[in-house]
Amino acid sequence: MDIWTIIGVGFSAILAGVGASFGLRLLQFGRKSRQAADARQANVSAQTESDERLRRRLSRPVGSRRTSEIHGINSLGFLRHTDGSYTKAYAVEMPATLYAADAEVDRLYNDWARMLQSARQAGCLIQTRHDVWADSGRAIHQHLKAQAHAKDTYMPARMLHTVGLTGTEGAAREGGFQDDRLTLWVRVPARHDSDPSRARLTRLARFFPQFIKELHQQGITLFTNAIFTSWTQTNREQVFARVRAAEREASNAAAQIFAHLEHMCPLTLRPFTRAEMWRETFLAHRQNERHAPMLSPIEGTDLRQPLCSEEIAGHGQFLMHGDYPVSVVSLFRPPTPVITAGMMRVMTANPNLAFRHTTVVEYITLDQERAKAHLKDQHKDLSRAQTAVSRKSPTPGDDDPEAQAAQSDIKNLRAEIAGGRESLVEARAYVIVYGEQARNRVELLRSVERLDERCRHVVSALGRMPGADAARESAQALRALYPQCIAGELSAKRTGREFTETTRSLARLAPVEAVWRGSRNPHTLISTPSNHLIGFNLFDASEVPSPLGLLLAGSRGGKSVLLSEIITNALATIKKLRVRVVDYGNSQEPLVAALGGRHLKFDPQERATINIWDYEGLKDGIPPAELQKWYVVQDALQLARVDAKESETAYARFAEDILTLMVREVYKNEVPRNGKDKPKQEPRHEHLLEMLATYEFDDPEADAVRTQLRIALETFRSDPFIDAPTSPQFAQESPLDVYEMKSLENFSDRVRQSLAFRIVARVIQSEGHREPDGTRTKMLLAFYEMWEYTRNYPKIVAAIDRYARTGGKEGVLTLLATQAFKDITGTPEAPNPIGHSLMSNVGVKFIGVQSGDYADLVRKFKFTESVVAAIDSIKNAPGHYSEFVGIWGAGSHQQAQKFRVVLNSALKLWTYTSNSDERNARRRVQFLKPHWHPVQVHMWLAEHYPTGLVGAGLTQIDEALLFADEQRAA
Amino acid sequence: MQDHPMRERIYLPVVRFGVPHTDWKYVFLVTFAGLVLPFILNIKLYGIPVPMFTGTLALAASVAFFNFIRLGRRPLWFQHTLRALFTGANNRAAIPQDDLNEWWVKEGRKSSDDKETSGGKSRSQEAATVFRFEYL
Repeated sequence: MDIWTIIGVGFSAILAGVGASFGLRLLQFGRKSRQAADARQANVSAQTESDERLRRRLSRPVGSRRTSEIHGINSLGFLRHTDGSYTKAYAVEMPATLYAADAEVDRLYNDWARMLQSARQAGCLIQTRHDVWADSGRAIHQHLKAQAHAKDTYMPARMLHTVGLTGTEGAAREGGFQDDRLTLWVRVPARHDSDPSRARLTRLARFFPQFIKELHQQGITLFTNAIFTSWTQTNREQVFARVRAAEREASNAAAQIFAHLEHMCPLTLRPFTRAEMWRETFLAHRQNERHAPMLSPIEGTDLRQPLCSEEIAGHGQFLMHGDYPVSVVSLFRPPTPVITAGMMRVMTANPNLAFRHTTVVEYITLDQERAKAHLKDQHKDLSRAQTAVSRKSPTPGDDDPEAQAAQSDIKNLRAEIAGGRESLVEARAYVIVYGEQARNRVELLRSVERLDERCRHVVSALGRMPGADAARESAQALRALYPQCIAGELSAKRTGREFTETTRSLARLAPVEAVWRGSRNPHTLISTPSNHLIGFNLFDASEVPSPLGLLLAGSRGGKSVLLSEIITNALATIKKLRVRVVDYGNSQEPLVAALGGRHLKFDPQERATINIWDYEGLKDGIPPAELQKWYVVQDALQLARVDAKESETAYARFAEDILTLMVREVYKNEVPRNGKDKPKQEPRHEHLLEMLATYEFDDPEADAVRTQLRIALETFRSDPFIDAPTSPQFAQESPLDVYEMKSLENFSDRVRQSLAFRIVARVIQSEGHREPDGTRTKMLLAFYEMWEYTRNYPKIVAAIDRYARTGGKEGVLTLLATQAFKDITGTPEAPNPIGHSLMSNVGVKFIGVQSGDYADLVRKFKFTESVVAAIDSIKNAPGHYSEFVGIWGAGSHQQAQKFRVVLNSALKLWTYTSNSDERNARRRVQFLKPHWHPVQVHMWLAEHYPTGLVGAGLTQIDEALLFADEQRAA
Repeated sequence: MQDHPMRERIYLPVVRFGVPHTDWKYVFLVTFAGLVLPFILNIKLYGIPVPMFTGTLALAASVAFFNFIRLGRRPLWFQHTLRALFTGANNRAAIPQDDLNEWWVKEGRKSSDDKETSGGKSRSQEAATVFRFEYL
């Protein structure tokens, strides 16, 4: 073999080797890439499958879908349910009849029963929902709205008032108060000829096609889901549409029943508008929401989607509706064996229930003929059972007493309903209790604890009705029942909690009574024993028809505290208000000191006085009013010792006529000497004496009386207190003047009587200022310890009586404070006619704790038994609160409400207190710290003794604290 | 205030062997079924005809069952338990896929406003869809 052949073969072999190895590499690479591609493909499909699973999960989340029976809201504001029925809702004005006469309350419930009886269509559901929640300060808001601008109110009072208001606001924020409202929901089943059948067989027939459809969609693996879904769609949430004309016909038929019930209802109803209805139902279904979105104006829109877009879950004794745990307490047995009106006050006026809950009472109307037949069957069954027992029993006395009692009850009931005199109705009552919002586990635990406690409170509240049995619903029952407890989801389906009785009996279960809501523009805030925060306005003529108020409370009954509170709040709220107080015993001294008012006293050394002849307008030469002349005459008669008791005698009448003539003449001479740009010339006692000396009558008898009067009055010529012009200190203007009557005790009897009368005349004449626009500002006159005036100054009572009837027109309110009613009207043995006359005109009464018999008060003002019971049950907690019963208005229109004056501020307590130990403490601190302003003294005491000495169980302060503060400061 | 009677006993069921008179029909039905069905199906156990004791057993079981669901329980306890069982512990929120968008008013005859749109849905249906998504 030649060399070239060898080289050629070798080269070919090398090339073949390279090619083969390259080919092999390529094959290997190809195989690997195929493998990688396969793996990637497998990965992608696995991922896709997983994604698809997740996507399916998103569109089909765990659990059954929440359902709703509400399909829409029509143009009239009725809820249109999925079964074609309608619901109309109303806001109800709850009557404040807690203290009304029993007959009135019975009448209200009887009318309510008549309304229930009048709903003849079977299956109508009438639901009352009493919603309660922790009040965040509705009355405070109203009060702030009513408050005049800061520049028009008295700043020191405003500051003290703000301190108290801050305390009240704090208490409201802590949930110390409750607010409530009542709504009425009426569901009327409406059937139209075109509606689909609701027969069970038809439903079953509809179920199977739906089930097959669902099975098709969800697959055989989700067999159970398909059953539930199709069951829900065909049975629980069967929806259907009516043609517009049919819908209108059905709606009109329901509207007729609504109108009939509105007409029969004894309560004031305000139908919800379409927007209100939407808001109510939306917020009830969506607990996490605070505002409802706009409702589509298109009638016929399905609302189930927005209503059910919040989960309801849970398997314990509470459910989570959104972020809120919720539970239901049901009344399993009604009050037995008897029920009375007002029993549901345990729910509407209960201080322990100041948290969010809704008391629901539902009435379901029955087919009366069927109900009677059922009753008859029941009677037969019982008779059969009874006969069987009797047959077995050796002695007839061993008969089953339960069956016997039931038989007897049925017999009575059948007798009652015979002839359509009464109707049977089904009722059920339950309370939905809500917890606080819980967004995490810690909050949930806390919220559920509170919910448990709240449920206990509700159970015990319902348990206070004699014979009633209430309990929290079990987990299963809660899950089954809660959906139909939501507002708008009312349903006549049986829950097992129904009681059947006559409408007259079951009407008593309605929670319609409420506490008085107070004034719409309150100047003083108070709280009721049920922890409702309300307020009153003494200047509101719609509530206080007469401008005279009465404040009665025994010793330590909180009289001075209430008076001080009214004064402070009124000064801080009402535009340019002026207050005049006639005090006895310096009870208002600390208030005056704190507010910078004037405390006016009569001191024999100072010789400052009030001239009875002086009046507003004298300076400008305006002639006096007849009332002013009357004051002067009465003062003169008093000084001349013409006794008021002798007013019917000829001499007294003669004397009065002569003095009236003289006074008129004096004014005729003296008033023209005054005028603009002229110095004020006040007529005085001296002028009267001159007139008496110079005037001559034709009749000798008249002349004799004139001479007698002149001699009697001559004693006071140049007297510094009787015959002197008004001192500047009394003539000045001030928002708060307090006249101290006790300071008159240092004067002789006639001067004392005259000065007291002059004080009262001046106070009474102090009408509000006339503003440039012609309006007159308000005025508050207060007479403290009236017993002193009726006993020692009868003329004063006559003056108040004369004025109090007309003061309202001038915006003046007179408040009389005393301990007992007898102080003003006298006893039956020795009545005070003027006092009785005065009391006939009282527009508002505040009655505090009464130590003695007050039957005359009850008789005079026609108080109901409930008001008397409320007065009897007054309890004061010194340092915390004092209780009163307020009665606004008179006669059959009076409105009573028990309330508490809670100061909510230690500073107020120390400013108002009239307790002897606390007064001493105030004086002692002022003595030890003479350079301190009274407000500083009150603040120091408030800081160290926030509940007062009485509240802390002390009788004196620890003075070392005063100096310890000083040392610390040093 | 005036007292009014509350006669809560009147609708108490008449009970025999712990079974209310209204439930006896079910007891009879179950007992009958317990007796007749094995008889029809001719079921025998070790040569002994089963209907000899299934009827008695069905009677005892149904009486025991009705006692169980009534004694110490609140009214309709069984029904509530069943309902709770069926609905489950979780009532989930409605989602768009549930398609809760059914009109409850329909026009008697097709109006000019209700013409078909490009998506195949009527105008009123479109408006409802907008409404539905708006508040999700």
